[in-house]
Formats: sequence, structure tokens, C-alpha cells
Amino acid sequence: MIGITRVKIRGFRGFTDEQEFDFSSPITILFGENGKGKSSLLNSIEWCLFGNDCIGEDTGIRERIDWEVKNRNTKECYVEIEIKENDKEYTVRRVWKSKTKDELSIMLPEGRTIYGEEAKKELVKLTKNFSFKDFLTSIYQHQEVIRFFLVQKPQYRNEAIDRLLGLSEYRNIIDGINKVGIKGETLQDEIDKMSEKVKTKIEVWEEQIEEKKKELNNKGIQDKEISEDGAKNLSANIKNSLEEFSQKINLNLTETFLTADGSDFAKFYALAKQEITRLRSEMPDIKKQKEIFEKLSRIKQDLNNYKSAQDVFSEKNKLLQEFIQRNGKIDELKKKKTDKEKEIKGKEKEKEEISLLAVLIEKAIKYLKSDMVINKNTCPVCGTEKEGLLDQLEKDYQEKYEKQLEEINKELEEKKNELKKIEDLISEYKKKEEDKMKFEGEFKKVSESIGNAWGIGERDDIENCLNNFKNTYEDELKEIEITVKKKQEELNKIEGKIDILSRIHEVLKLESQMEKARNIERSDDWQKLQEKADEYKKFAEEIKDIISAVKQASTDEAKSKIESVKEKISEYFTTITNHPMISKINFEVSVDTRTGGNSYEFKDQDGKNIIPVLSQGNLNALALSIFLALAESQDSPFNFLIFDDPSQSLGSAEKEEFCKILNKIAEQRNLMISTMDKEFNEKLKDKILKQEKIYEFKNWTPTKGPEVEGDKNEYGCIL
Amino acid sequence: MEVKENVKKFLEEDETKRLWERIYERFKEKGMDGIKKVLEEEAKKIQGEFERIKKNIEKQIGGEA
Repeated sequence: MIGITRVKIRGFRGFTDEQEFDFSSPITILFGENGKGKSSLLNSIEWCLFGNDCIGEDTGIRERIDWEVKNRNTKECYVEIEIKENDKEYTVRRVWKSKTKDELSIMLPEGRTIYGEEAKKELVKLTKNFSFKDFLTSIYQHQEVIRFFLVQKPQYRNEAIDRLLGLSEYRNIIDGINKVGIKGETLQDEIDKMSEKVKTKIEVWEEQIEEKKKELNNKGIQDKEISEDGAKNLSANIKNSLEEFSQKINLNLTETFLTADGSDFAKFYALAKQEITRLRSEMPDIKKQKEIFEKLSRIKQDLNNYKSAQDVFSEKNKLLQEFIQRNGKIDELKKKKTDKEKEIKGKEKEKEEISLLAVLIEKAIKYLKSDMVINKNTCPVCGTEKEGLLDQLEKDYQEKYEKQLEEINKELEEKKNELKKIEDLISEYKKKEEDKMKFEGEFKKVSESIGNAWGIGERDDIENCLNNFKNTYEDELKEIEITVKKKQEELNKIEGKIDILSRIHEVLKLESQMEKARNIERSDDWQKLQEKADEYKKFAEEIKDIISAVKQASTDEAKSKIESVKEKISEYFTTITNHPMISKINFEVSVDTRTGGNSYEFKDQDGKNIIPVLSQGNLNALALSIFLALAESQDSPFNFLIFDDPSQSLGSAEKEEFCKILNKIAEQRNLMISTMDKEFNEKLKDKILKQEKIYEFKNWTPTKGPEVEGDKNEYGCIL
Repeated sequence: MEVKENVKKFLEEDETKRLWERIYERFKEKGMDGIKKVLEEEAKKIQGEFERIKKNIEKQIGGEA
């Protein structure tokens, strides 16, 4: 048997800095409040021995799902355990590398260290191929198992017993398979739905065919003509009709159409339609019609241009004539201008004469008024003497000459204004005459151009001629339209036949599809589809068989295990609890009809179910009894047992009895016990006679990990 | 005895035994997700072939049935 004498730990779970623990004493007690690192220390032994096998849902321990091995506050994570087998010492070291990878090494007794696969093989040899599952059921009592055992729900208790018996794997496999939810009828249901849809489709097609046939009947097509032969005959008929028509209008049909096979309907239909479109556009009458349309359009345009030029010219001429009527002809205006100019000239001469006399008198007045003239009554021009000459002259100058000049100036002004008006009229005349001439020229040009275009002589009335042409072409157009209409009607008839052919083909296509749909369930493909649905059903049946086999195997294994330990369980239970009503318990397993999992029952000496009368402490004792019995029954390579918080709900007397049992076990195996229970701790110290080592887990911080008190060795490590 | 062998004892058909072995091996490799994968793969194989034939049939009768 192998034992553990020392554990060195760093960065594992609750641990940060390296710490070392001595497990060489028969009893090692880890004492302290919850969350201080006790379980991390015990877990480290598991991880070092079994690596990632102790992580994940198939361990059966719920907290192991997404379990973090490496402490987040450290870079390094490793666990090193010293194993003693008789006198040989091995140092097993596991270093965490990543979530899925670790590195195992073993220092052998002779001092050589082995790694990797070699180390794994050596470890398997050392542990006598003992699996993690075996370790859980017979070496390491997990606190979660007791917690689940104490829960009143039978489902959780059954789960906990499965775990105690090492049957979690069965349970997990069943859960895993059930999660996928394969339903055998899925594909058969799809086939049934398909079958229904096909039936509905056939019904719809039947209605559509009926309707289309009625429409064809209404167009004079008989039922017997709505057939492949009918369609072929109609195709030939269409081809003949088009040939006759094309000959009539002197056009040829395309070679592609003439050689087209009527049985390829889609092609024939498209070509026939193309031919009709081509014949419609290339028909000679249509070309002629187009030419006449163009000529008529030109005539209308020329008529518009002619009338427009004529209207503008007439308007300008009218304006000129109205001007002449109002103001006279140009010669008359010119004469008026000459006359007015003469009048102005006469007046200006008269003004000049008066002005000269006035200047003379003005000078005489100035002279007479000067100081050098003594006799103011002598005329300085003629020497005549006259009393009051100067006064007389001044009076005459003011009354006669100034007044006259004023009048002459006024007259001159009026005459000049009149002359200006005549000049304006002359220039307006010229402008109107220029306008008239310009548009007369334009009109002539338009007339000449139209005349030349239509061959109209200079003396002919262009408007009349154009209207005559227009009437002639319109008559011709009417005649062509009648001819074209007749031919278009002929083509319409042929096109009508093509449409009927198309409808016949629609019916034939629907009938063919309907026939296929009617026969589809007899087809090879349908058969294959059915085979696949059957295969799927069989696959689902196989899964059911597997689930059933897993359940049976689980129950079978449970029964076999229980059979070998039930006496021992009863003994341990009655010893720990000393229950007044229960002198013996019988442990039975059956299949839970609701969940399909194992269902465990505990009955007393009279065959009565004991669970309803058990206290929490009794249930705790029952879980411990199962573990102890299994631990004892297993042929284990380990010389130790691990108990993690075993006294969760035990009463004081039960704790004492349990300690007595542990004392007996301690005679043969070392014990590693973690507890937060002071009373239990005291009883352990009191009842167990073997040498004990106690580690007190006092404090825990995320950066420093657990603060542990115990004896220390020469290097400062806790011993 | 191993779980794998224990269960096998209760299975009759060879094909079912092979399926069980595949389930168990995947479970050991990848836990419950492994079971899910192996069963889904098996189901998809049949379903894929089923869908292919179904589409072929639909094509024959002119559209989705």
C-alpha cells in the first residue's frame, strides 16, 4: 500500500505562495472556518494523482464543472506529493500548463526523474490502476456528497448515492443522450406531411386542368383535340397558315421556323410568335402606310410654316399702311419737313435783324449814360436833338425790342418742336417699312422652299396646292388602312391559334405533372426516402436501447455493490446513530420508473422505509456509513482515507460514535480529516489515540492564500 | 468492470454496440458535449441524405411538396 507523507503546493486553487504540509502522522486534521483553503489542500492530492480526470461534469461533482485549477493571482501552479511504498520514496509532481494540459514527473527512489508518458505509466503502476472514480467512492469522502444526501428530494439523494457507489458516469451518459432529444418519428412525420401536400397539389391541378379545358371548349376546341396529337395537328396548321400568309404578301418565313419541330412546343411557340411580329412589321402595306404617314406629316409642317410666315408679313404690312393712313406717305412727310425748316430759317433772320437794332439802341443808351456826354438829348447816331431822348430810348428798348425778341424766340421754339415730330414720324416710317420688307423676304423664301419641295409653280397658290396634296394622301391612307387591317386580322387569327396551342400545352404539362405526382409514392426515390425515415427510426430505437442498457448496467452494478456492503452499512449506521427504532437497515435498489435512474430505498428490520423517520444527523450518518463500508470493501492501494467536512449535521453522540469508528480505522489506515466543527475537532483529539497532526487554517486572502498554523521544519515549512 | 463493457452486456445488436462504443469514447474524450456531437453527426448523416432525396422528389413534381 502507498501512503502520502508530504504535500508541497503552489498556486493551486486557494493557494498562492508555496506551502508544504506533512501527512506522515496517522491522523492529520485540517481545522478552520469554511473558505480558508482546507478543501483546496485535499483537492490538490486528487489533482496531483489524477490530473484532469478529476475535473468536469463526468466526475459527478457539480462544483467540478468549470473548476479552475490555477489560482488567478499566481503565475505558477504545481502540486508535489511524496509517496511512500514500504521503504521506497517517490516524489510525484504535476505542473499546470493550461486548462487542458499539465506536465507530470516522478522522481524515483533511486533519484532519477521520469516525465510524460513514462511518468504516467509509473503512476498507474504505483496506484495499481486505481481510477479516479474508485478514489471517490473508497478514499475521498467529498462534502458535496453529504450535502446532497441531506437534501430531502429523493432525486438528489439517489444522485448522491450513485456518486457514492461510483455510478455517476452512467447517470451522466443518460443525461447527455437525453439532451440531444432524437425523435424516431421526425422523418416519418415529414414523409406523411409530404404525402398530404402531394394529394393537395393533385387536387389543385385537377381543378386547374378542368378550368383550362372548359376555357378551350368555349373557344371551340374539343376534348379529343386537347392531346399530344391535337397539339401536333394545330402546330402543323399554324405553320401552313403562316406560309400561306407570307406568300400572299411576298415575304419569306425564316428557315429556323420552317424546320422547327412542332413537338418541341416551347421552341415552336417562341419562333411562331417571332415570325408573326416580323410579318406584322415587314408587311409591304405597312411600309407604304408608313411612307404616307411621313408625307402627311411633312405637308402639315409645311402648311404651318407657310401660314406662319404669311401671317407675320401681313401683320407688318398692315402696320405700315395704318401709319400712312394716319400720317401720310413719306413724300408728304418730307415736304412738311422742308416747309418747316424754311419757316424756322425766316424767323431766325427776323430775329437777327431785330437783334442788330436792339444792340445799336443799347449802345446809344450806354453812351448817353456815360459821363463824357453832357448833352443827353442829342442822338449819337443821327445828331437829332430831342428832349428826354435817353428816357425815350430806354422806354422803347424795353417795350419794343425786348418784347419782340421774346415773341420771336417762342415761335422759333414751337417750330423746332414741330420739326422734331415730323423727323420722328419719318424715322418710324422707315422702321416699319424695313420690317415689312424683311418679313416679305422671309415669306418669299418659305414659299420658294415649299414650292420647290412639292413642285408647285410660282403662280400657283401654295396653300391650296398643299391642302390638295393632303387630301389625296389622306384618301390613299384610308384605303391602305383597310388592307392592313384585314391582314392584321389574318395574323390575329393565326396568333389566336398559337395561344390555343399554348393552353393545350399547359393542360398537357399539368396532366403530366399530375401523373408524376400520382405515381411518386410508388417511385424509387420515395422508396429511398422511406428507407431513410426507417433508418432514422431504427437509429432512435438504438439510442433507446442504449439508454435502457446503461440503466440496466447501472442498476446491475449498484445491486452488486450494495450486496457486498449492505451488512457493513447497517452496522456502521446503527453504531453511529444508535437509533432506538432501527436495529438493522436493508439497502435496496430499483429502477425509478419516472426518471429511469436508480432509486434507492432504506428499510428497517420490519421492511419499513426509514427515510421519513431519519433526522438530518441520521442522514449524514447514513452517507458516511455507505462511504465507510465501500472504503472497507475495496481492495485499495492507498493506506489512507480522506474526509472533507464529514460531520455536517451529526449530533454530538453521533460525532462521538463516528470518532470511535475512525479510531478503529486509524489502526490500519492514515486519516486526513478536514473540519470546521470545533466539537468534532475536540472529539477527534479526544477519541483517537494515534498521533495527530493539526493544521489550523486561520485566515485566507486572495493574494496570500491560506494562513496556516502548525509545526514548522528547519526550513520554515509547516510540519 | 468498465462501464463500457457493463453496458455492452445488455445490448444485442452489433450495430447498437458499435454506436454505444462511439458514444462512450466521445463521452470519455469530451463529456456530455461529446455525446451530443456523436449523436448529432449520426442523425445529420441520415437527415442529409433524406433532404437530398426529398428535394429530388420535389423537383420531379414541380416544386415544394
